Amino acid sequence: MTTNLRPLRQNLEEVAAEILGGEAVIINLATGTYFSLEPVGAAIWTLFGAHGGTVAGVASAIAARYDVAEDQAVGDIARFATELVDERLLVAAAGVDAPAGAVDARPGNGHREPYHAPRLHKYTDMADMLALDPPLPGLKDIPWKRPGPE
Amino acid sequence: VPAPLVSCIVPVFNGVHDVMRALDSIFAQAHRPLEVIVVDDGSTDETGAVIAAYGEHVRYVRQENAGPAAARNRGIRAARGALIAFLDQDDRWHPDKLAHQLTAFASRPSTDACVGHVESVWDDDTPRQADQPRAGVVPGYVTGTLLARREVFDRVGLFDAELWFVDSLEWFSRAVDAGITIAVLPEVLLYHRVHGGNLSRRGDDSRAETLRVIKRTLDRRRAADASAEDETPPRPPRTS
Repeated sequence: MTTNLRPLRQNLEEVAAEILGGEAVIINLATGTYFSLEPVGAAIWTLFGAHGGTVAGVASAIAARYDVAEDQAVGDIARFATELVDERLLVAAAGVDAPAGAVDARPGNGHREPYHAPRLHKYTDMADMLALDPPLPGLKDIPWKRPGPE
Repeated sequence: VPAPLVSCIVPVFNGVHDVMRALDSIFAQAHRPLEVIVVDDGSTDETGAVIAAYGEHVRYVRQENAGPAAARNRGIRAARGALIAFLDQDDRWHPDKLAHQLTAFASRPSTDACVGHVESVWDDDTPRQADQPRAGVVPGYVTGTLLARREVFDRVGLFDAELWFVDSLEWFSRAVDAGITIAVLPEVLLYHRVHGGNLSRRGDDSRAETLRVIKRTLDRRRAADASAEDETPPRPPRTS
């Protein structure tokens, strides 16, 4: 698998995602399948970013912030990134974004946060509920909206 | 047994060009008695005058602009029916919508609520999103297909008036978690008009609301799982 080497980015053409209370909530807009990532997974998701990151670069940032050896982080993140690619949450990126820009790597802080291997939680129970009016990407205007001050 | 009164709640905002078609599809239902409640969410057009033409056949309630969910809640509070249905101004009911659903309630009395399928109808000037895999007939977990016993709203609660786009999604997720028995009919009960206006409802704000509702649902379910593990003895199974 070449997941380790090639840069990957969030597939924001097909998914919507937000970090809420430290948890990444991600929805595939076409299928209605949604996913949750606990804080370490959410940090990894953020590090891959909208423009791209490599497993090695993300692992380095994770090892700086969390209490994990970089070798273990590389293995965990390679496995995790493969799952995210299989679900089309990450796709191949043209390049790599500025490393660790979006996550506080806290260099030299000395205190690292507890580490848990990242896990992808997948849910399909709301697919039917999201079938009509799925929140499609790329459309912005809203006709029935709280009137703001003119 | 007399036929049950069905309250039909129609939230409207600047609906002067649309609402008559929606109302006509309600009055085309065979079922009587009906109570039709139009909740005008602070329209600035002639919606009020259009509704006035229906005379005593429509109850007209006007509120300050507060969003479609708040308007639906206002309608529920005003409703006197044993069963409650909803229709948005852009949409139309199939002529047999209520008949199919009342048959479903009669054949299975434990049914708390009933939904059906929805067919999207695209305006001529709106590019059909053919690449959207579910642009055809889809299950309609939306208020426009819902027919619910009014007690359901006591058990599940009202719509979240803070939500402007996905109050249906949020309400149905609560209904499922509350153990509401929802029948899903295979028939198309609702024609959902897709046009430049409502298509664009599916933009950034809608996505952000959807994600917040999913997060809330996950948190609620995890809290319920945690409290179920603590609970001794276990709750008896619900009988209905």
